[in-house]
Amino acid sequence: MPRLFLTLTLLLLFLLEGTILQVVSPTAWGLPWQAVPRFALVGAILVSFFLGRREGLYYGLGIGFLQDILYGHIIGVYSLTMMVACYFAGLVVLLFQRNLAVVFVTVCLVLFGHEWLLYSLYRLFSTSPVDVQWVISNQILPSVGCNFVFAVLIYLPLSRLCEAVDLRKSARHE
Amino acid sequence: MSFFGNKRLIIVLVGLVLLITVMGFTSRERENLTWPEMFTKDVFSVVQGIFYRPAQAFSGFIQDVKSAYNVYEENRALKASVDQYAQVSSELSILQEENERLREQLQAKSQLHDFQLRFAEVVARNADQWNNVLTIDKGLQHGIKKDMAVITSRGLIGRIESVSNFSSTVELLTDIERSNHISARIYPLTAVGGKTAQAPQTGQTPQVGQTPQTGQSPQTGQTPPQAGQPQQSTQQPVDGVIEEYDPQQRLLIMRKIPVGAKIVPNQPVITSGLGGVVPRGLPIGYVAKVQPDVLGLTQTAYIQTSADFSQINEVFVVERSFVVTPDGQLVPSTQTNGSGQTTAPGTTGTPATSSGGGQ
Repeated sequence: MPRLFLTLTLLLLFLLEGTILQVVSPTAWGLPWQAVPRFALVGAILVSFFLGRREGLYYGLGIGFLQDILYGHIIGVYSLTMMVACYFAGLVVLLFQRNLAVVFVTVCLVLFGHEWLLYSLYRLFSTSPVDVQWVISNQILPSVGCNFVFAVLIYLPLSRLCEAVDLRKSARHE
Repeated sequence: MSFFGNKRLIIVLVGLVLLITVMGFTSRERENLTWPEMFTKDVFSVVQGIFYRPAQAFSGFIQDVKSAYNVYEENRALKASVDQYAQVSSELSILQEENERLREQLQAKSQLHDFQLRFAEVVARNADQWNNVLTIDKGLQHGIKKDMAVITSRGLIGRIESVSNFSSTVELLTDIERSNHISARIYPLTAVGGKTAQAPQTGQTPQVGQTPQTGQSPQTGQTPPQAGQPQQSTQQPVDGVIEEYDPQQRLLIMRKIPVGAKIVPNQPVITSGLGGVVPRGLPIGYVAKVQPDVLGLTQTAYIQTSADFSQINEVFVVERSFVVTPDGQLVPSTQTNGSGQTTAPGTTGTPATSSGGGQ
């Protein structure tokens, strides 16, 4: 039951990205930068912290795949980047002791890495390259900032949810 | 132990190969979607619609409150344009009547700008720079087909990229990919009563693009021969293809305009209807600036879109009555069972008025 609830939460975050958040995005109000909400990805990264990199990888793959099917021209780009991002997030937390500072720095780095991977993939295949400096200052950094704030907000509720899932999992093993 | 390690490695490798295969397969321009994709898109479009409508209503309310503060200036501007409107509409009706008469004499059938509109609502949007798309709530069942033009009440915004049964995906003009090629025509400024009839609504100051940046080669390409055709060159419309979108300046780019063509800022840009399924006469925007090409052999026009891309709530899907086939023939599009909004071919309404009436 908690597992279903967790999955539904991530799905809800994904739905919010495409709908309600478009209304409050900075471009809608005429600001020069573009913050892309990736709340479902933030959720998957946190799941990867709490439940291990394997689970994070599955959730990342699922969300990336949905993003690809609903919005993408090429199926597989977001699946790849989100999967990799979640896996590395889980890996980093294994290496260091898990405390709040490490977690939030990791979230920031992983989000930046994800946008950077996306940029490099599209730069590789796209016919019209965009200036790197402009992309970083106008798109990547605002996106990372906005998503980081969301990660701070959702950290506690999601950790509780993941603990419930974890309890259920270990209970089943015994 | 090593067996398990190997197994995991093999799974990862197979997964990667599979992913790359899928990417390669889907990166081509596809005619139809597969049914699992259609199903997913349809289901999600319904759910997204539930979320998006209230959000739209709320933001609309906020916008209304905001605009209530500049009612006074708006009213003044509107009054000024209403004066012009009377003049323009009388001129239009004269021209229309004359056009029809002449066409009858020539026995020419106008086909390029007959179209019908289908109303659709936006259910979701992706603001990502890489996939700048909208999802709308009309699909195959409502007669929508791939590559149809999509407009708002203010101008062209994109084309249908893929269709599923009850929803379809619109690729916006602002998408970074170079798949949006729109044949457009830059019209000369029309003077009505001494004033220019069309002026950009946005408060953007059009830069004077005629000044070459560096005193190098473009000198020759920039200034048209003054002695040759001073008046005629300003009067001629210029055809071209809009190729690209510049996200930094937020302008569309039209390349390969001949050097002799004289283009000044604020000239209207309208679809020409040559080729493809985009009909003639949909407004795209205004010329913001003109620059010589890198080599100085051609010019590049930067175009400010007249549609507002920041908030798109309702759109119209344009179905052209006659479609140009790849061999260059004009073929009537077979879809005439449309949902009540059929315009008989040869209707006198110009595209501008029919799109205005549709909303």
